[in-house]
Amino acid sequence: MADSPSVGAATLRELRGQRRRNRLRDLDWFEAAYRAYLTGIVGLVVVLVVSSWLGDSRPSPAGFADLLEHGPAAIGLLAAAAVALGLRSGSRGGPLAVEPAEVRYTLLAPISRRTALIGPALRQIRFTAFLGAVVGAIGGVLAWRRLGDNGFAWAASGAATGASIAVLVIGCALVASGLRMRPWLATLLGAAILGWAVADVAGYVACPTTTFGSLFLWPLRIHWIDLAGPIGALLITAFGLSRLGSVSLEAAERRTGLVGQLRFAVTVQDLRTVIILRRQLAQDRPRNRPWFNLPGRSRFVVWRRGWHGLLRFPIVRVGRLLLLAAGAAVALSAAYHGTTPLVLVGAICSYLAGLDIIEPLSQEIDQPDHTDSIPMERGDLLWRHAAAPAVVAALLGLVGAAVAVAINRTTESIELAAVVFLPVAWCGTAGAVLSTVMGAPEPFKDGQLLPPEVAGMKLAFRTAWPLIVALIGTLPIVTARRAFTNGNSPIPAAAQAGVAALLVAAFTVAWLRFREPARAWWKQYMEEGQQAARDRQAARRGTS
Amino acid sequence: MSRTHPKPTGSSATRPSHPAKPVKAPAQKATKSTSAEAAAKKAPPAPKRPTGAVLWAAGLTKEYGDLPALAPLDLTIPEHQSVVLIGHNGSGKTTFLRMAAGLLEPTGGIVELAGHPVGSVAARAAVSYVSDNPTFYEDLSVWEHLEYVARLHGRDDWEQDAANLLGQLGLYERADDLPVTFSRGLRQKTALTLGLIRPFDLLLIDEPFVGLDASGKAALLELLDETRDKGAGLVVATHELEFVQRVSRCVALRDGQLAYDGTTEGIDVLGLVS
Repeated sequence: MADSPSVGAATLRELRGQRRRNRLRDLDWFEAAYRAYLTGIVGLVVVLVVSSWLGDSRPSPAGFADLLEHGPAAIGLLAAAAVALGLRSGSRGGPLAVEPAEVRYTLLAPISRRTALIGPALRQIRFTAFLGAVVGAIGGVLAWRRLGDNGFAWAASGAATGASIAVLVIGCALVASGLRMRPWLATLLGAAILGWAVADVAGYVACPTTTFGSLFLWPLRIHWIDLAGPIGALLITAFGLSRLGSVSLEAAERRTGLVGQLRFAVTVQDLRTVIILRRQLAQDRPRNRPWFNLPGRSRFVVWRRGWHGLLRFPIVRVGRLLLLAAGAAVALSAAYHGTTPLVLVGAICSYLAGLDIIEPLSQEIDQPDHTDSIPMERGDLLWRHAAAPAVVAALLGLVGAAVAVAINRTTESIELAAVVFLPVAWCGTAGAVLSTVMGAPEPFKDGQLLPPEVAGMKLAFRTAWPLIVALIGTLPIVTARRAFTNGNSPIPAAAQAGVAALLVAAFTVAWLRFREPARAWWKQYMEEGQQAARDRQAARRGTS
Repeated sequence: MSRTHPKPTGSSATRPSHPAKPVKAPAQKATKSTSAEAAAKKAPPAPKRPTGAVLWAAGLTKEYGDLPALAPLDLTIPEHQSVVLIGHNGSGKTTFLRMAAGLLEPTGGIVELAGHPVGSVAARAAVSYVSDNPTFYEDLSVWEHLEYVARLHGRDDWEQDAANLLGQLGLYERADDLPVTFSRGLRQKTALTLGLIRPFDLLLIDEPFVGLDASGKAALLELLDETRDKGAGLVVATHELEFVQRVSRCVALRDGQLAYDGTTEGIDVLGLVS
């Protein structure tokens, strides 16, 4: 929307100043100081833990040379990923998330929107830059432990790099928002920049984001051209700020409502709510009409209902599922060829795809009133919901297998993909089923009557268990790799591990079916035991 | 009350009566948006603009993904006219009002308010929108909200009018309370005072009677009459028969399309909204 010079900027400043004074008056300084203290302690622990992982042994001269050659591009890749995120955020109304009332009263008032938004925008830039500087400085200190020289210089270069990348992210988001960039265009642009950075890492072509990585290495050598990165970030941000008056009120209003809820859901680890809110933020809505109508009638009503939901997936979600399948295939191929930690990436891809494809089951979990009104045992209903997603997971697994075969192009890869695709797909889906059905952890309920240490461990296990199940699906890759390095045939080893992984997935479905009857039986058993103990005690009192 | 607000005129604070004869507040005419005008000039040849229209919509459409919410809608509301907007749930009333207020972006078509493109500073000065889902600042009282909104719209002489409005809607005693803590009805009343405290040429209200008690409804009807008497245009989305009888024009939407546009005399409201 068009804007004009402000009519009342001074009034706005005065009224906002009044609000700020009100907030400061009501601030609990002791609480704020305690939070700062906790943040400091946590930050220190993180630094110490990461330092201990990295160790402090000096790299060899060859290692130094390798670092100077590839380090900047690798850090530049991180900057490119941040740019892509910024562009996507901006295309959805970010990076600002003002209060809903601010949209309704201030942005609809006859004052320049740029004037109204410049304050919140500068505050966000300042905070993000500070956060980036802190993270960068920590990275600098960690680098200093391995690479030596002047610790202050490393911290300073890290802080400058972190702050510059943070400003770049906000700047890109402001530009995308101010230019009303379409989400598909922002994604395309982000992907192009990311691809460029990957090509730089591979040594094909230099990418501008590499200057940020090179800036980080200034304590080792100084290239004045690296200042182009931070200067570019500032220029992009300045352009973004100049376009503040053109932000979309529709996107801003949608975002203001959702971002607060999203932060809260993340805080309480409510994954299902995070997924729903993220979809709303991205306007990832089911199609009004399914891709095609299911023919005729079916005896299996839950199976049919599942397909009704799955066939309404929007194209964006379908694309994301295909990308996740391909991502899992690439990661697991690399894991088989020696980079074992990438099994974690493969498992996460499979788990994230699972969270999308169990949507019909998730909808049932979201609507307990509907489910409870059906004259059917809850477990009996829920486990039937696993059927349609299992078929989709298998199809996605086949897509992943095709990608893996296309990458490796060997007979062995075809055989391995045929053995591995189902365990990976179904264990990822099983992990997603576990996290959705268990819901958000409730510390007071889950830890009732347990000592704090046990309650904490139980909570941690409960949080990690879905991912562990997804990770079990990648066991065939790990065992195949081990068999190969030991000079054995990888396929039989993978098949054995695959059967074990499929059993875990089957146990999950059984858990879904018999969870509530088992709980009821256990509760009754405990109550009977307690009653018997009370009866014995009463009998003893009677006799005495 | 913790601070001294002006009392509603002609009454005690506890038993507020109707406000003194309202004085038409000068509408804040903001500097015209040069870039908005430039954009309007660049736009493809538009349908002919009617003169003296406070709201003009031509070919206005809105789609959510593959779901059409509003089919191409042509609507002109002359200055000083009061219109009731009716339609069944999902007919497009709220979508239309939010597009006219500048909160939703049309998929196609044009909306102009008092001759200015929707969203421009001048259009924002001309239109006041009261949503059916009020939102408030968490850290401002009712009185502070009124000050904030009034002064953002260039009104310095807002205090007496604020007190009168609060008195009429029975909110005077709650002026220092936070509206985020209010019930549905009180929130609705607060939103109405915020919509009315500022100058405007056109008032858009979405379902204002929902959640109001009998006295609140009576007070609102009176306030709407006063608004009309002041010469402002009025578009109210409601099925409240008492209000329908008070206005001369009715616009009915059905499935996002214009189903009726004419006089309210003898119309079958239930038939139009079913």
